[in-house]
Amino acid sequence: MNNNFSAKKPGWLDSNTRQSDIILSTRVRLARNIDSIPFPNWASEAGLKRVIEIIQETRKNSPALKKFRFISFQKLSDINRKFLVERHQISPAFLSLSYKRAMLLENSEEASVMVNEEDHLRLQVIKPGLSVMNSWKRADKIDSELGRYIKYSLSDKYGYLTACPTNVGTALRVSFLCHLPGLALTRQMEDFLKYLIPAGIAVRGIYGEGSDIVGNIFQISNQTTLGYEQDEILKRLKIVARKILSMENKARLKLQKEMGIQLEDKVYRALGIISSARLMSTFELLSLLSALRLGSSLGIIKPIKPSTINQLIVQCQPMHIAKISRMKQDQKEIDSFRAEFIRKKLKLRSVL
Amino acid sequence: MKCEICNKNEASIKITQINNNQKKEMNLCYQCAQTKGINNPLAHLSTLMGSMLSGIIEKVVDEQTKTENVVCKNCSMSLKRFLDSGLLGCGNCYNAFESELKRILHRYHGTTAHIPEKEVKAAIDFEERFKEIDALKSKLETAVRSENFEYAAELRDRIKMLLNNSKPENE
Repeated sequence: MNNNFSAKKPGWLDSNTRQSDIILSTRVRLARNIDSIPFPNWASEAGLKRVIEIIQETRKNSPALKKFRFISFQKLSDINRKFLVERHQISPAFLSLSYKRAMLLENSEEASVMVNEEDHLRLQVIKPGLSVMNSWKRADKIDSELGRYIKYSLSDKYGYLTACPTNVGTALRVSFLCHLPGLALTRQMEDFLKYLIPAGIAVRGIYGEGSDIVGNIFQISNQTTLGYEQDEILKRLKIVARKILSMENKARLKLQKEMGIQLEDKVYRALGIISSARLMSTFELLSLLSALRLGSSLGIIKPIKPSTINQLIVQCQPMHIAKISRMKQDQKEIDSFRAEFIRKKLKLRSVL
Repeated sequence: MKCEICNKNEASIKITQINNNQKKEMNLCYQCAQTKGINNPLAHLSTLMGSMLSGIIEKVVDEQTKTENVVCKNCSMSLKRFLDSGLLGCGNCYNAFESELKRILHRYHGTTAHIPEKEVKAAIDFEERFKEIDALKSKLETAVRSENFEYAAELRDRIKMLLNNSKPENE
């Protein structure tokens, strides 16, 4: 059972509040290293093994951590590894590393720990919609629990020590997965960045560092981790979230006012293609879903629940489709299955 | 002007990033800009400086010190390797490469010091201590007025003690 993963709807995208249409989810990530063992990039085979043993022992000893599943990365198939990236449970970087890795994963997938990524431990908590404080509290609780059994690498001068100096200090990163078609289509992204970058905020693609921007989905997070208290970072990110919501909402109204029929055309074309296409790539689908979601939130088409579209964003990724369709590997078959799957999920009747 | 990464070609692209009110500027040639993903500025904007970090710093440091000879005593990571990869070897590397790291941390975070939680708590204590001192002072006045000198001396010592503890370092 260890390596069995279900393509079920991820809980962290299951929110239907007004905000969850723009801020899809909130993620809190803490980087931690074990004192006296070199960082993963420099540790010996024995050191890396020791890190994994420590995590296994900790999991056994801590009642709170027992419910996490321990997964040895070496035992995972290629499909399952990529599948976990699609579910945002591990980073794309975690896939490409060559040394011994493992992870702890909660059944609900709200919390997980990557073991031997860039740092010994990368703890993440991910919740639906805008949820800075609740995500932080959960992460802090797990961090404290781990800290009862593990001696962290910590210095008075620099705080939590991390392999890359860009994470040192609080080693805290808060990020929002955002859908920002209004800002993108009104070409205001640049103005938006001008506001965010001086606030020490980074904007990335859907899977974080180095990933492309698809379907107007952006990951927005704090860039600096040193010289701030945790509370200050959390507070700053809450302000940023409010700014994201207000700027995107304003941009959407502007879009509707200025583009009018053009916008309607874009939305209906997306609907037309989704209802009739027989082959659908992930990339195309994500941009069509963006238009559909925008049309739904502006009342152009019949409303679709934000959570429905959020789930589809994950479930229509290649490894998810491969799992749902029972491991069809051929690209054409996958694209064909995806086209049909999406029609069914959105309850769209094919035109022909 | 020569490109700041390859130091060969003429720089044709200027990149500016503002972080904590600190402006960072880089002049790059087209080829280096492309390899750093600048043809799609939005997608890589944030990671750009991070990945270039080692590039910038390496150049600066190479001119000043021999980076190969600087090695962390704990894990034997060399400064050169760190500057190439951007990753440190162990917690002690923060001490071993302190002077270079300070520059890097300052460029990236705009600061070089962590604010630990206890320091924040100390700041709160500081305020409370002041309140306590004020209360003791008014008690002292009353004690002196009522010629209760023994008690007054005791109060004076306590105030002195509190003041000494709460003095900021630079005073």
